[in-house]
Amino acid sequence: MEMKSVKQNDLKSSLKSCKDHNDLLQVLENLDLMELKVSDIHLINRQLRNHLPDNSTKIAYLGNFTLEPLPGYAKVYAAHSGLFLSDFVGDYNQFFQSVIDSKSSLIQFNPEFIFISLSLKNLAPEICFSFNSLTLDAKKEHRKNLLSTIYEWAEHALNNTAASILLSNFSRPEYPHSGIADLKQDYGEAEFYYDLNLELLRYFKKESRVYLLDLDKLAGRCGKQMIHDPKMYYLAKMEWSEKFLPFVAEEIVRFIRGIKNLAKKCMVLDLDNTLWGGVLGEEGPMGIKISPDNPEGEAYYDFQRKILTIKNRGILLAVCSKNNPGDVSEVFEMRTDMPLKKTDFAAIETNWDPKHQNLARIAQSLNIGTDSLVFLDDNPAECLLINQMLPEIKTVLLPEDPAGLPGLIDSLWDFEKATITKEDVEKSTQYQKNIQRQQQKQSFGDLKAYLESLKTEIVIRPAQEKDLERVVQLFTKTNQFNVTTVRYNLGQVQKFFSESGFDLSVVEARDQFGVLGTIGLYLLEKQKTKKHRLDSFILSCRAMGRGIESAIMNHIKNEHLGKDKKETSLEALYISTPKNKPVENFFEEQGFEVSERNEAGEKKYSMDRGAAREIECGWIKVMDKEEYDGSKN
Amino acid sequence: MEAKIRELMAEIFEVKEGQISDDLEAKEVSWWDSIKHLSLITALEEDFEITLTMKEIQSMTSFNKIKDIVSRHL
Repeated sequence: MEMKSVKQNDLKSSLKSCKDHNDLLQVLENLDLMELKVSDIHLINRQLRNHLPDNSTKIAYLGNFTLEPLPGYAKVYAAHSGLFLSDFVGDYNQFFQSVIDSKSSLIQFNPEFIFISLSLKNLAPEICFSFNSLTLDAKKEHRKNLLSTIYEWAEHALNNTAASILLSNFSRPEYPHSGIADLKQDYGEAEFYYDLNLELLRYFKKESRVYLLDLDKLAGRCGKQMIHDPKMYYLAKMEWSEKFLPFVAEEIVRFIRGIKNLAKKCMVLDLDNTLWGGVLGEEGPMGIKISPDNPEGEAYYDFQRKILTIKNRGILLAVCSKNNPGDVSEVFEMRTDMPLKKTDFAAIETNWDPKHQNLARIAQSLNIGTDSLVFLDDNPAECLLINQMLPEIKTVLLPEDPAGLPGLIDSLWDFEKATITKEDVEKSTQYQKNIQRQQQKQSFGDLKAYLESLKTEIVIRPAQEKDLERVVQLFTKTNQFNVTTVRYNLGQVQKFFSESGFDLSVVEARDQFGVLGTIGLYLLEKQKTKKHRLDSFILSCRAMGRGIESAIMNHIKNEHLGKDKKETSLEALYISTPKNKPVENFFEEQGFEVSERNEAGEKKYSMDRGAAREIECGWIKVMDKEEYDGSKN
Repeated sequence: MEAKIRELMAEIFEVKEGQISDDLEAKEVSWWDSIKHLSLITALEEDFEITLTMKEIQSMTSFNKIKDIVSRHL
């Protein structure tokens, strides 16, 4: 349902006219993936190969059956969402050797992701072909052996690569060998597969770098009878039909986006014929359709409940609608039967200004880029306007029949997160509190008096295992207060965490309005030369503008350039990006000297021990962990 | 039909249509491999709305044979 859809028969000429990878992305962004034919996948892949940029995402495919042509589908689906993949397909049945041998071509490829899917036809043929002739003990033995093979493989893969691993589970057969009696068996096929998949789920939940790819769920989504093509299996050991591959490819892309933290930050919604049926200005708050007492009303009601599930993932909600502000407030007050409340929205722009202006205002008020917004509207003209005025915003045109609304939310890939952290859950509340902070700021004329009134308390401490997911989030998502914007993934972060040559510290904060959570970090590499290198310094945008950065830098100076320390100097680097202007002069302000600069806007800095002085930020109370946890504001 | 087959073969084998000559045989060129062969089969089945048997698929080893077998289904 996206705008500007490219007519499929124009695909060939549109592809041919692409000069570079950006042109190509633009063509692919507007494709209807469901319409693509097998030959289209090949056509697009050829163009993708011709225009592959250097920074493509490396993914390896491993398995014990023919995985081709899955990688081709994944490349097209990834490019549709703005990502280029380059891939490595492991040799048939070499999945184990390839993670053990450090010289293997897989390890040389150095993948960022490994997808693995194992067929039981190879791994445990008795389970596949003669399940109901096995004894109970034999079935349990098979389950145990399968799991230990997978656990052992995963251990090698984790130790020998820095990749995030997408591990498929097993699709429960649609026709068990004992027929409908299977569920009455001592240990039937259903029970076997449920057990196997449940054990995998529980085991890998603890392993942060392994993500279970729920093949059984995907098979259900596609229709289990559709996932096989016996002809292709007998001819070429292809386990999956061409019809099933798009489902697997889409899930892989959802994971890649989630793990790379590419989720959009805010869902912006229109009101009339979007959140409810009818026009508020005409029908009034009691006339609009929004409750389950009529078919259309129930569809909108379900749509609102679906939107809440997105909010619960840590995505902000906002309203952008042409309506009278008073009418909108009235609806939220009078229609308490609506699942969505006014407080669920981090920003509300209701007025008669053009919508692109309102979207820009929403992004500004939430301190995020306009490219982090997804805009949903039932009016094609509004979507078109946004596409023209702010092309970086993804627009979603809603279906005419509200029956399609709840399902539309499921079909969006933009709000996938690989894990949901405590900060995600509390995100919306955080933004509500920020609005209160802003109001307080306006009531104080004097900045220092305002900062003191906030009663900010922070703790700066070495990262612990449980912080690592949040650390990866900060590395991958922070754009503004980020001095280098080098994106580290979980594998790299685990290395910094476990090796003694690094100081990876995190910062927690709270103030009189509540807890801000883990809002910052720094990474320092200790060097033998006694010149330590400050590799990264990151502060979440919601903690900016109150001097926390100075408190952290004071801590670093004391910790690494203190009188009792052996270090002589500290080096740092600033790499300019379109978004990190706020920290352009951060190191100068903290007393660093520029030692080198180039035309690209990179600046190298150093600070000698003698020059290290604390910067005034007395309104911030720095506590140690015990004091912080033991007291409350 | 002939033109459509040639177009599909060129797209899937990623070669120019001119390289799909009437007397082309699979064993003579490196780019007609077994995986691509099956992609071609899927594309033929999809475009012509036909279903090919395993026996037919295995015997489609040249441009002429493909043409013959597809035309039998139409």
